Formats: sequence, C-alpha cells, structure tokens
Amino acid sequence: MMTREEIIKTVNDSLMKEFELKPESMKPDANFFADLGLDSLDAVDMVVVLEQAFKVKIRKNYEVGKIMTLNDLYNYIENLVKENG
Amino acid sequence: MAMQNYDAAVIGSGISGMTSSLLFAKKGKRVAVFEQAPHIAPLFSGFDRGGVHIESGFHYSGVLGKDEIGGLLFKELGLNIPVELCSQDGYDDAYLLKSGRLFKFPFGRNLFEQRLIEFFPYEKEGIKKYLNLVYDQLSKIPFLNFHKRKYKNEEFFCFLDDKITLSEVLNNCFNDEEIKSLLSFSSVLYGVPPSKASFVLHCCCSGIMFETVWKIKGGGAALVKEFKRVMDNSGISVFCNKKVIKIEVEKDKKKLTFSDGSQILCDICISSIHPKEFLKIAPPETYREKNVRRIQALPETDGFFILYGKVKDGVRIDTNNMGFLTEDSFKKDHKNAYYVNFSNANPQTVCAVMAVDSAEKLWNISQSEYEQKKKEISQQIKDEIKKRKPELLDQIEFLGIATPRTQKRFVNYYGSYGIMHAADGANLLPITKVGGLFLVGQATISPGLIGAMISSFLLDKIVSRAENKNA
Ligand SMILES: Cc1cc2nc3c(=O)[nH]c(=O)nc-3n(C[C@H](O)[C@H](O)[C@H](O)COP(=O)(O)OP(=O)(O)OC[C@H]3O[C@@H](n4cnc5c(N)ncnc54)[C@H](O)[C@@H]3O)c2cc1C
Repeated sequence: MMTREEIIKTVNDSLMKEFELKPESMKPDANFFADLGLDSLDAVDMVVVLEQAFKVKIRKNYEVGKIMTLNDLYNYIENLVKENG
Repeated sequence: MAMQNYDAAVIGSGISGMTSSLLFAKKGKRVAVFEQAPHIAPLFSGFDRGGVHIESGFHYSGVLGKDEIGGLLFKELGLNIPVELCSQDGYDDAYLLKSGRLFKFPFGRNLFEQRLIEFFPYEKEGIKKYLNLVYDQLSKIPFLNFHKRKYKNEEFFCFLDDKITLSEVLNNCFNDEEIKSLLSFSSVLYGVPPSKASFVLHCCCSGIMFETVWKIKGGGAALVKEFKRVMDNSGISVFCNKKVIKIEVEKDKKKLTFSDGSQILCDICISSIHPKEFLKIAPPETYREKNVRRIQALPETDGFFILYGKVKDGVRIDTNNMGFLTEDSFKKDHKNAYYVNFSNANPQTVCAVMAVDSAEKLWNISQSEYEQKKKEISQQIKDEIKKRKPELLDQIEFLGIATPRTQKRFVNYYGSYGIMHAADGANLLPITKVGGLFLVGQATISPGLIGAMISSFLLDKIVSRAENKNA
C-alpha cells in the first residue's frame, strides 16, 4: 500500500516530467490551469501518465471534473489506490 | 524610427477582442487592437446592400437583461446597450413536417414546458426530466453564474469539458423522434451536431435562451458602436487593415509583424483569432508538440451559405428564425439544415441560411467553379423554401449571397463558428505556454456573444490572480 507521501511524490514526479514543471511550483494549492499553466489539452496526457504511474484506470466522471488543485488530485488518487488495493 | 510599444496588444476586434481590450485598459494598461478587416468587428457589424442593412453575426441572445449575466457583463465594461425582449410567446418558429404542425418556441420555463406537453403529451415525463437537466446544468456552470457570488474565483479555473452529448441526453429522455429533432434544432446555431455537442455546450449556447431572449436595439452594429465609444474613452487605439503575420518573443517582449511589413512591441499579447490561424503565427513554444497536433486536428464547424434580401413592402413576418424539421432531422444530425432568419428592422431583412461543408479546399477554388457552386446552392435553398413555404419566395426580394469564402475574407476562417467544440475533442483555454501570450474568443468557452465575452472575463481573472500572487 502506498503512503500519501509516496503518492504525492509519484504524482509530482510524473507531472514535472511530462509537463516540464518546476519543483517550486508544485504546491498543494496550485491550480492546474491558473498556476501550473495546464489546459484541458494537457489533461488528456495527465490522465495517461497517472494511469501508467499508478497502474489504475481513471474514468472521466463527475469527481474528476472537480479536481482543480494538486491537493484535489492527491486525494483523488489516494482513494483510487485504496479502492484498487 | 523606434517601434511602437504597447502594454497590451489585442489581435482581432471581434466581441472577445474588444472585451479584452477594455478589461486590460481597466487595469491601467496602454492597449492597441489590430484587425485584419477594413472595419472594426466585421462579424457583428453586418453590412449594407441595396439600401438596407443586413445583420450578419448577431441576431439575438439569451440572458441580456440587466440582472442577468450578459447585462451584468455589459455593465462591468461600462457599456450602455439598449435591449428589448423578443416575443415571449414565440421567438422562433419550427415547422414539424411529419405532423404538419407549427411549434412556436416560447421562453420562460412554465410556458415552454406547457407547450411541449401540449404538443407531445406522451412525452410528459421526459419533458420534465429534460428541463430539469438543463436548469440543473445552467445553475452549475460557473461561467454563467459570475454574478451570483456563489462561486469562488478558483472554481472558474476548471476544465469545462463534459463527455455526455446532447444526443445521449435526448435519447435518454424521449422516444419520439420529432421532439428530439425539435429540441436539438438550435444546435445549428452553435455549429455542433447533436451527436458531437456536449450537453454542457448545449446549455451554454441554447439553454441560456430558455428564460429570456433579447434583441439589441439597432442590432449588432449598435453594440459595436457602443463598444467603440467606450474604447475611445479608455484611450484604446484600434488599427484596421492590420493583419498580424508573426508573433515573436524577444526577451520579455512580444514582437508583432504585420502583412504590410510594419512591426510593434508589446508586453502582453492577446489573440482572439481562430486557433489554427493563431498556430500559424505564434512562436513554436506556444503549445507542447502533442497539443499542436491536437489543435490542428480540431474539426471545423459547417459554413453558412446565406441568401440575403429584404421582405417586400406591406409584408411583416413576426419571428426570428423559421426552421423546417423532418422526423429524421435529429438522426441525421441536422446535416445541411437550413433556416430563414428575419430581422426586426424597418425595412425588414431576411437571410435564408443553409449549413454547408466549410472545408478550406471546397471554397478555395477557381472563380468559375465558385460561381457555379453559388448558383447550385442558391437554387437548392430556393427549392427547399418552395417545397416547404412557397409563399415566402414571393414575399422576399433577394439581394445577394454570402458563402464561407465571403466569411473567410471578413474574419479569416471558413466555418461559421470557427472550430467545433466536440465532446470527444479537447477544449482550449485562454492560457498558452508562453507567459503573457493568451488566447480568447469563441474557441475557448463557447460561440456566441456571451461565450466570447466570458472568455475575455476568464482571462481577466487569470491575469488578476497572477498579479495578486506576485504583489
Ligand atoms: C451567421 C452568424 C450568425 C450568428 N448569430 C449569432 C446570434 O444571433 N447570437 C449570438 O450570440 N451569436 C451569433 N453568432 C456567433 C457570434 O457572432 C460569434 O461567436 C462571435 O462574434 C465570435 O466572436 P470572437 O471575438 O470570438 O471572434 P471574431 O468576431 O471572429 O473575431 C476575430 C477577429 O480577428 C480578426 N483576425 C483574424 N485573423 C487576424 C490576423 N491575423 N490579424 C488581425 N486580425 C485578425 C478577424 O477579422 C475577426 O474580426 C453568429 C455567427 C454567425 C457566423
């Protein structure tokens, strides 16, 4: 079972690599779009890299639509990993 | 000679470009707007022919009342726009050819619900379900609720892409094909077939006309005139016949090059043009390579072929649009839909519109092929009218034709509404990977007056947030 710290690290590493983001921008309250400069075109790749990193399937549903900050994403992945684990 | 230097340069003077220019001027920036056409806001301004004024890119809109989102955005921009309600009992006419009935679209939920039930009593449950879904969605979309203060600023920074299509929702609510055709007809007015339109987009473009439908007194041209007045007062310079052909990043500045060879510098550049045209002129680092390919693959909306003219003396037609729906219009995704649009000006003008393929290669053709095509499609439209409502042909004097090629000349794209917002495609947002280089307009939120204005307000929120963080 992954700890929250491990989840955060894996999320951050995957996103930083895919989108060339700087470590200092990876704050929990960072908004994907307004702070990290990721748009909905990027969202497609975000799903792909996270699915690969966590070996899970991310379904497009209402909950995913509510993810706006890194922290929202950590929470979402944490739940998903729990459900699958 | 030193190059002109602006704090903010806006490319394109449509609704979104003008709105952005005012919002940046409000931040105390020195702003200039550059438009490729000979006049400001060519799409909204319409044109004069045969002594009458023909409306082109604006006829009516929902939510322009002073307590509604459109009216409030006007107010925030300092615009004084005189609006009037359309006829509540029927703002659009849909001829249901299978049952030989005329459905007049009313606005106001009760009236609309009652009339739908009167026409389709066996679909009563579905009608209630459908209206609940639309109203629920309307109350949830943050962009349409700027004014309600219910939303935190944060909530605007979301990806507005829902994968449920209008077709799925209609199939889910109804069995009857005629009501599905009726309730999806308005998809023609934002250019996305029901099987591709997300339900959210449908609500943003058509759902906003369920409560109120407004005309602007004096039409689109009056709106442009008022924008221009406030822009002049705000010290915004507007340059027409200025087509931007290149945007380069030079240190902290952007350098714009125009087709006449001249150049300017700016700190912030806001493009309001078609995203594919933007790709052609923007620096390579504007989007990640994968996203460049995604943008290039975005489909284009159908183009409009428009036979325009005036209604003859002594005749007055009291509706905005007349649509003709067969039982399988919905199943066929309203392909090649046509409708007849009437102004409320005096003399009354008319546009008979048919949706046609807008692919560049179909319209970028030799003059003789083009003339031939114009003849064919004109005849096709007249034949359709003759079949459905022959008396109209005697009541109208046609004055000319506009095609996707005409539109390309005026606004630099062929599809009526530019790129198509398809549920299975990606949606663009105002940001790019280059700091200080932004994209607004109908491609980012949704087509229409409201969508174009909101895209600029959204950018304003993003920029304000960054300023506050840095302060
Ligand atoms: C026939 C028709 C009827 C419509 N009816 C309605 C209606 O009734 N109600 C409603 O709400 N909406 C309506 N719409 C939709 C609405 O008009 C548009 O969605 C809206 O005006 C788009 O505004 P915009 O600022 O995004 O784009 P545009 O108005 O297209 O602005 C982009 C501007 O950029 C300029 N440009 C392009 N390339 C360059 C360049 N390289 N350099 C400089 N300038 C450049 C173009 O000339 C253009 O003026 C209609 C549209 C059409 C086509």
